[in-house]
Amino acid sequence: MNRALTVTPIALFAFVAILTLSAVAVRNGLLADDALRLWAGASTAADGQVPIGRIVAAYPTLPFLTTTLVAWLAPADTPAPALVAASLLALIAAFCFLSFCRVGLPTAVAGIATVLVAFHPALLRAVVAGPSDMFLAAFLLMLCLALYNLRARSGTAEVMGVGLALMGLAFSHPLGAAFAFAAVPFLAFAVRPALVASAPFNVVVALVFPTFFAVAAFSYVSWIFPGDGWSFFAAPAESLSIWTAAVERVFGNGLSGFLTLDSSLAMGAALALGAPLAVVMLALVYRRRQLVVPGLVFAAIAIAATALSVLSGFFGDPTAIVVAAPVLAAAVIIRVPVVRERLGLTIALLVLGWLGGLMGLTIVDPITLSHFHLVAERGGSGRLDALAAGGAATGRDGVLADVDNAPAFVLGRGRARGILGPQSEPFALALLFARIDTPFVAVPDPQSEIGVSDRLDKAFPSLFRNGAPGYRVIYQNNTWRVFARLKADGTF
Amino acid sequence: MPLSPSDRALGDLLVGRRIITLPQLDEAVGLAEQWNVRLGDALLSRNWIDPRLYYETYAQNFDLPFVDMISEPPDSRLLLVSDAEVYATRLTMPWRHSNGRLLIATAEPGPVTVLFARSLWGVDIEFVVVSKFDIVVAIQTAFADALSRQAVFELAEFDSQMSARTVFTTPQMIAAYLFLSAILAGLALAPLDTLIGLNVAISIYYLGNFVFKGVLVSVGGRRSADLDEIIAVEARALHAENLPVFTVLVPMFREAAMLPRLAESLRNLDYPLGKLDIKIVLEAGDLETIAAARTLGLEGVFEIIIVPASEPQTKPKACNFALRFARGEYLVIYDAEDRPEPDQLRKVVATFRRSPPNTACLQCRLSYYNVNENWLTRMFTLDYALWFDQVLPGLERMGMPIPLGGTSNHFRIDVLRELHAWDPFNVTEDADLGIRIGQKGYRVGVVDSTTFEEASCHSRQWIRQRSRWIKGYMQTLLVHTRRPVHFLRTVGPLGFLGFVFFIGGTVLAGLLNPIFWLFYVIWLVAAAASFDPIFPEPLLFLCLFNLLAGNGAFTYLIMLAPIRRGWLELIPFSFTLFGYWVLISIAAYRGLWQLIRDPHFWEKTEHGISRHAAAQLSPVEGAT
Repeated sequence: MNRALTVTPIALFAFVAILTLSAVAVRNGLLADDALRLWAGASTAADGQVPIGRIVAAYPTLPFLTTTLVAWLAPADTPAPALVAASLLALIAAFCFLSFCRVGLPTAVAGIATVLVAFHPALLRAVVAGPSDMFLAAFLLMLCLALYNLRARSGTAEVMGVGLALMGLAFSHPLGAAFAFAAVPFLAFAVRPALVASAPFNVVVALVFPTFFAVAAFSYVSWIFPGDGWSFFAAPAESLSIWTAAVERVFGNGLSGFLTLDSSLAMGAALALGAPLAVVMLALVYRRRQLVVPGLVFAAIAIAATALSVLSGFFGDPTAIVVAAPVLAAAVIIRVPVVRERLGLTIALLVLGWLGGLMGLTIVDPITLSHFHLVAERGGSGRLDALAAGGAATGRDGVLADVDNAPAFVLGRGRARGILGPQSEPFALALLFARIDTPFVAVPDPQSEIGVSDRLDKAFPSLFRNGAPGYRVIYQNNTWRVFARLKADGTF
Repeated sequence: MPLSPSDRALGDLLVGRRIITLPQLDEAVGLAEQWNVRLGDALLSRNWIDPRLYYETYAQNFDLPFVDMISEPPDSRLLLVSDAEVYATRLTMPWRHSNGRLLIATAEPGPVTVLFARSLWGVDIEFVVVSKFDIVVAIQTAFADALSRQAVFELAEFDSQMSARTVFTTPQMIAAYLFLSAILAGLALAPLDTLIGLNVAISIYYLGNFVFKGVLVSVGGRRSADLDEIIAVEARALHAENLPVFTVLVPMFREAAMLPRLAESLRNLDYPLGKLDIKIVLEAGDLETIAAARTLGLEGVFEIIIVPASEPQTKPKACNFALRFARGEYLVIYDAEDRPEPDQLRKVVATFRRSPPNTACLQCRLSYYNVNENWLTRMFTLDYALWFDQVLPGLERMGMPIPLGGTSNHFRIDVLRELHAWDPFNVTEDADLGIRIGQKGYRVGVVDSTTFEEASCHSRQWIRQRSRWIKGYMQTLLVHTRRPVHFLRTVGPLGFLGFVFFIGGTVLAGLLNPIFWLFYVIWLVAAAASFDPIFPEPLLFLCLFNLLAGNGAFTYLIMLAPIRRGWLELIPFSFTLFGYWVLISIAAYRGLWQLIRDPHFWEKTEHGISRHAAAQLSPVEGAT
């Protein structure tokens, strides 16, 4: 009861603080592309605008379904992704606090450690990035602790724990999938030597089976419903190219000129900078292999996942993996007993890790860095214009717009209901017959960054400039125009 | 504990008459003191002395006449069937009248017996000494019909709602009739909605089934290894003198060849032989095994119980009959081919002592010694590993009723008698008894000790065995759903849910799987659009989820099952689970057919036919 009384304020504080932070980020257009797309998709799905087949085949599955559920349950203008992300952070904070107390840390020290871990720059970045990154963080924590359990006992529950954590990772974030695949060669080291000696391959099979089976099953469902089993890998490929360009913009050719190697080294450095506690504590207990090996295996998988994502191009940019640093620090506090004997050192290293986390982010997250610069320089962006245009369309039904291209438009409007997006029949008919017949239509400037890929702009090149016959502009900003169809009496 | 003066005198007499040697006496005295038993129990457990000679000397020691009750049977007018159990447990019974006094035959003369006999038969009595084997035979002979009748009908008469003697009760027939009528009416009036409704119900049931089993395995896997370790340490630390008498029932039928191996397994138990009350339970018509048992020269702790011929000829009936003769505080059942781990009984005693007072039974884990014989034995081992190593501990931790497995169930004998023991009309009497124990407010625990058995290695035999199990599960399901509200109230909502998914799930999955496989294959191969109306999109998704997640989950659970024992070489075989399910479905339909045609027929599983067992039996047979 006492513990519950203590943990509740910590969780609540984390929740409110993060929600506020997210709101500020959204208001300033700082939301990550993936989070924005997820938010718009979830909002559209929650309004019943997406067939169930597309919902179940959506990826990343867990954040999408959770956000859709929250968007469906919550009032129209609730920032569902921020709510989900903040809730997850609050849960992680509560879990860390309880675990720290359970292993014997004094309550005050546990509280400070929890704040330093839960508000670590990498975790804050994950919160702003959205539910996918927070699910990734949660399952990484589960995996790291499961690896420690596996090394200690290697029983059924422990194998199951690692297997389910890997599966959860694969369905949380594309990089979670990279993490799961990268884990395969390292898992044998995480199992008790006596067990792995007899049939190492079979142990690894048992550890990765849930992930591989679930991926195969998900591909099958994707194939049955939307009709293409691998469609969910499209977006990550885009995000990697954006990241690569940003890396080159910030760092030029890097250390070796070989991006895979450079990014792996950068991730290794970011982990060490973000979690010096893990480095020092594991060094102190270097003779006790069952305490050292799981931490090393976890770090090795993180670095390998970075390399895999850059090399393969399948899993998007590797930035999100940096959240492994606070996760590893938390796991070390929970599992490595020496932490409890050196409380001062622990807190000092956590503070150092917080500062190191900032440095780590500058190394591995050039996109956000350049995005900050962009926002600072321009004081706004096409995304803010889309949000404003969406706001202007609030309360209007039958708005034709390519919201797949401009998800911020949906968020600005609050709800997807009333938008006739690319999944709708009027949108398809408009493109097919080159004729617009909806009450409203919204298009970005074809010269703008977002307008280049807008399907309405492509089909109606003069729509933004001249409007459609019988329509007139009811709203415009730097990027967007919203037109309304005039009735016979000249009203709309 | 030091030997009693009368036992010391008996020892001297035995040595003096050169029946045993001095070193044998010294060893027997040591054992008797260590085990806290009579000298005779120690001597008979070592097979150093002919039992008849021992009892003759015993009589001489007390200066009492010795009587051969086989040639001079007791006067049947003096015997009461209601006292049969007392005669058997006290090894004391009225024999005849002589000179106006009642002669009491006893195999355990001494002050305690005198006091007991006076309380039951008055002071006008005299004693004669008989062999304990003669008493057991005399009781069997005198009360064969009555005890046999009790063994068959006791549960049905005292607690008829709990007996599978009636397969379908009238209310069940009416409920089934109404249910079928409703479905038919639905099909006639709104066929599509009815089919969708059925489809939804079955899909939800499938979903619940695999989620439930997943939760059980997860919970069972978290069973504290520390507690098991503590139990193991406590078991080793138990002093022999503090151990209770343990009755071991071994029902056998046409298994003469298994006898030497069985005796060897029981001798290997790390438990004072003098405190074992072993009953080899044989059917009267099984002359071959009876003859083999009599000529084998087993130690005096082995007793042979002959079950009179009557219907139904089932293992539970034989066990019920033998239970009248049990003298232990606890009782365990082993099959003839069983090989319990040596410390099993000690662990059971230690666990009982740590368990809540309402613990009526402890189930040990079962596994197979012929794992690697062929694909079927490997799959069977995986199946058992999932069941006994993961699922049962899960049921225990979640406080749900546990359907007991075939053997190695250790009972508190007083509770077993209170519950009227096994249902002889149920062909999985053990599973039924486990559920009944839960219903009556007792609990079943799980012990971390394994009994190794012989897995059926031929598919035909395996199907026969499994169809009996599934038929028994159907009987159990029917028995315990006769009063659903009462059942819910006694075992609680979680227990009810567990019973429905565990017993019902096993039965229904076997029956329904082939239907859904067929649907799926037709849908996949023929791309049959005609199924679309009964699979609206949300339902199609649910069915697909069940298909994928269900198959994946069960394959994974089976894959995890052998990890606990380190049998990692079995993991790849979990990918062939589908083939095993096909066999289960065949057995399920066979079981259903048998339930309708011949519900109480016990299909015997042959043992000793695996290569492993044959190799084990040969040297033993050669030695005997």
